[in-house]
Amino acid sequence: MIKIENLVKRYGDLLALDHLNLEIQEGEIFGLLGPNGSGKSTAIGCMLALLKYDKGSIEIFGKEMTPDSYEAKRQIGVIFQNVAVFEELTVYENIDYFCGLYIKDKEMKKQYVKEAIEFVGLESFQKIRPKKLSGGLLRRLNIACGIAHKPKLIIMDEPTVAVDPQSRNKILEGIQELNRQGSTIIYTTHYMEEVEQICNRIAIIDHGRSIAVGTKEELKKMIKTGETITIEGIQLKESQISEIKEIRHVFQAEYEDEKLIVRCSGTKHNLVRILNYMQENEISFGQVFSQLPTLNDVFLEITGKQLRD
Amino acid sequence: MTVFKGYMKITKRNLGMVFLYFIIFYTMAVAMQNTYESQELDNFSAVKIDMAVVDEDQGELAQLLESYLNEIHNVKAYSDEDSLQEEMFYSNIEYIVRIPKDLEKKVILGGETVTVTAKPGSYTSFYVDQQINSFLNSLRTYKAAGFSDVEIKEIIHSGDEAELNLVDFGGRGGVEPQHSFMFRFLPYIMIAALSYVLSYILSAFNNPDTRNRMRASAISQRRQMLESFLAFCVIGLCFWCLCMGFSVLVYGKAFLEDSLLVYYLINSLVLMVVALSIAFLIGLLVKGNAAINGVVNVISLGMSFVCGVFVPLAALGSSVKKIAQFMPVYWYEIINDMLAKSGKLSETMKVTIYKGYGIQLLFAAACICTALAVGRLKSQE
Repeated sequence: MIKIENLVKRYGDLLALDHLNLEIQEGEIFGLLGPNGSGKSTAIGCMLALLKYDKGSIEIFGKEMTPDSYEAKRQIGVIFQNVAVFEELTVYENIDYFCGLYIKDKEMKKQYVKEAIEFVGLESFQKIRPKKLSGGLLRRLNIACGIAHKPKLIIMDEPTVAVDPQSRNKILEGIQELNRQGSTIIYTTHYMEEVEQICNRIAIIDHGRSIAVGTKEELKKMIKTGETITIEGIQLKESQISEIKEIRHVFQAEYEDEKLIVRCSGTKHNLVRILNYMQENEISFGQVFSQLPTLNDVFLEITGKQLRD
Repeated sequence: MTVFKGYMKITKRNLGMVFLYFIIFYTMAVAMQNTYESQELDNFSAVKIDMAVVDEDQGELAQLLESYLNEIHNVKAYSDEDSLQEEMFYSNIEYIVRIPKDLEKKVILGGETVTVTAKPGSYTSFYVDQQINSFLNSLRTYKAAGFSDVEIKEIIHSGDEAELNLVDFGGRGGVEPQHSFMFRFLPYIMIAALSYVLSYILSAFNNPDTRNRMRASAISQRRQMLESFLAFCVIGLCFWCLCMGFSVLVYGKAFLEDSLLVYYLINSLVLMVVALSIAFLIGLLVKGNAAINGVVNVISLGMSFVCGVFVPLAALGSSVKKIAQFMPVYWYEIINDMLAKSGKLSETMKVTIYKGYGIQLLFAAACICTALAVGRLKSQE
């Protein structure tokens, strides 16, 4: 459905997109994951032909995307990070206005607006102006404005920023529902939990490059870390840290402020082996956590930094 | 026509603000018009002062001077000379003329002048000085021509007055129609009210996220721009109709029957285009309601003061006028002044009027082009 090849975009001296390659299939919820400033929003701007790019190509629905690709644009819905609605218009009028930018038939538009309002659950707020809506409701209005015309492709640029957990869950459920109804979704965020929860495939972006693409399982398999064990309230000598590093499947052990973080390559019996070492050496400790690899671990291992750095 | 309808809906929501500005500005215009009119009348009213004449000569010529002064001022009787100083102290009289003995010898033929005592700080006494000197000069002329005192008296009493024919080139008898004042203040109303309202509306459409959402839509940018223009024109025309309708209500028949009404209407329509273009530019360039307020105030008040809205063009200095020539309101006021003073237009006047229309339209075109260029640059950011 979307094919991006060697996309390069510069803002003066800053290289925002560095030969970005992506391919998104119909029916997917495709996650673009990356820290702030990694180039996600720029990539979306280029996809929507809002930004001119320096090099590369973008194909949507099999055709090159240009500012005049109105037939393609008719089938795309966009939800930006900031709420983009008119303060002077009511909830209904806002959705009606943005739907009207795509749908000419009055009756069809009326029906679509009604369905969008029902979809985001704003039935009781139709005559209210955005100023009087809470943050979560405002986000739902923002989404309704982007999806009312029933687009085949929905591009969402961090739609859950600054949203309370309850509204966030509602929004994520809504996205999955839209996908079930047949829309392909591109979802950008720097929240890895969201991506893990809803996306079929994920591209991790850093410095304008796609550094890893695949399902979350595929991505996790790309890295060495199989399990991360954290032990708090522990006092260790340098020699003991070196001995822990020698335990089978342990490839990294970090000790700081009475906290030990051990990364292991396998997933089985790592915790037992480490606890046995503690027992044998009579080392006391407080809490113990074991965690399977996250996308943050993937990002950390590939780039050497945390996703939220 | 989704974009057009969007503008209309948002304008509808701001109608209260439109009417509020309209009422405030119109009240100000009418108040300023009344102030201006009353000031004008005061400036040209004749003033009679209370005065006394001490006639030590008692001759024919002295009596002539006294009766002349009595015609144009209030010459008061007095009991004795000493009381005159007291009368002046209490401001009962402002001026004392002392006609010396041997008036003819000393003043008419000798070149001396009569002695006067004026109330300190009284500017009217200068006028009386001039009137007395003028009268004495007339007497000197008659005397030099060989007329006797009796003949001079006869001539002065005969009441022969020079005939004055006033030629009314303007065709309005020197009286400016009242609605010309309304048209004079119209630039302030138009620019301020339209810029306030339209800039607010346009800034809502130019919010970067809203703009991006619209740019990503299936309606071309050209069409969006055209629909915006159309909405601006409709809003501007409605406001213009409101102003003209109000003028019909206030000035009635005199307004509708003005032979130059068409020129007034075209001038105000052209001004409306200018106001729309300014609003368009402000709406695109300025972000935030407070900033819009500030910029609109500076532009509308600045142009009004410099271009002859609040201060008549005739009262402006040449350096101010030179600066004002670069602004459309100056040319609007030039046309308005011409229409106010003239009942009919010569070909030269018509050329000046068309030139004024043209310059205003050029300014509007420059504003729109700048706004479009800025809009283009912004979209490429």
